[in-house]
Amino acid sequence: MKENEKEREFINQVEMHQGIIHKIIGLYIDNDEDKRDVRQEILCQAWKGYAHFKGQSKFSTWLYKVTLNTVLNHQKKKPQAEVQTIDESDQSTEKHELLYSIIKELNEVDKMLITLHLDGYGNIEIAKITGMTSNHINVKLYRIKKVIAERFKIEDAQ
Amino acid sequence: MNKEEQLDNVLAEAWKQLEDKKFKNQKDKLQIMEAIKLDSTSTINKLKKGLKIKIGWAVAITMGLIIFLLFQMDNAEMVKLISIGIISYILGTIAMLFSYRKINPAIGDKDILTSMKDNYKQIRGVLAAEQTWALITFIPAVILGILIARVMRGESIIECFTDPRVLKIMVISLFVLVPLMYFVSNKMNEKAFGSNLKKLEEDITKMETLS
Repeated sequence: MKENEKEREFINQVEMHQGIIHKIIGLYIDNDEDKRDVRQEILCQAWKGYAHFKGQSKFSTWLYKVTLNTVLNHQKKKPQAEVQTIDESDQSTEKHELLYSIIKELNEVDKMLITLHLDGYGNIEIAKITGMTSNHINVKLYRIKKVIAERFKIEDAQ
Repeated sequence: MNKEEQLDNVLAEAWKQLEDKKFKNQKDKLQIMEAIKLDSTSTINKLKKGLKIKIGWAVAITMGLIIFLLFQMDNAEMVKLISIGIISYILGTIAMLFSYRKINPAIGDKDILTSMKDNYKQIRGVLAAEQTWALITFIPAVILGILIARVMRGESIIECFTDPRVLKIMVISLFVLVPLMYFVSNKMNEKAFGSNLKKLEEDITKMETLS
């Protein structure tokens, strides 16, 4: 495949799936300068790695891996801003705002696991992406979901 | 519906809303095109570039010493002295070259844990290589600096070493300057990369253990 054709194909693929990049950056990074740098670095790393992408996994899964890899290995220029806590007793607080606030408060590894889980990846797939064992993932996801359930005030309907 | 199913449903709904409201897909083809033309700004890539510059300097200094040696061929003591400098610079440069060749800034298709471990190892490796290079070349450079003027005046290296004044200066220089240099470089590395390395270490532990 010619270089131009490959570049066009890559750009089209990234354009289609760049929601993944926006989402991970949004959840992990607060200040605009770091956001810009990381976004550029993700695209740069993805383009470099695209030559070796054999299509064994979906492009979106591969891009997810590159994005998380880059974000977790990135040295932030500015310290992260304090997570804004929201008033959970306020009935008008929308569920998605509460979920966003809970995920932002999690540590980087837990944040990665719940994001992948919520995006529909199964534990075996998450294990392949992260390099963690399925058992670890199971336990960690159980703990994270327990915290979320408490905050969402979900109780057994018995 | 049990608690788990109820939570899954609520989460799925909230996640969908979150995606629609907070992470809207922005179409920016031009930005993608521009970004892929730029060079990587990762820590390891920056370190690789820094190492390349240091190797360039080491080669230039070695060449300079070789040229200087060619003008001192009639003075056997100077030849010995400069040769020590050249050998130490060559050894230091080879060590740095090995380290440089091992660096691979591309993340590629590795899983996240492997990639983080590689990144951690590579950053530590480059910093260690730079320190080794500094030690290998700094000690001979100090000795060379102290002896060169005397040897050029016609004294032999042995004579210089038997002069208690020279010995005193040398011992003080080596026992003060070398540890000081080691301490300062460690502090500088810690300031520049300490937080990054600590974060990587913590994340690796979190991924490997259940705590």
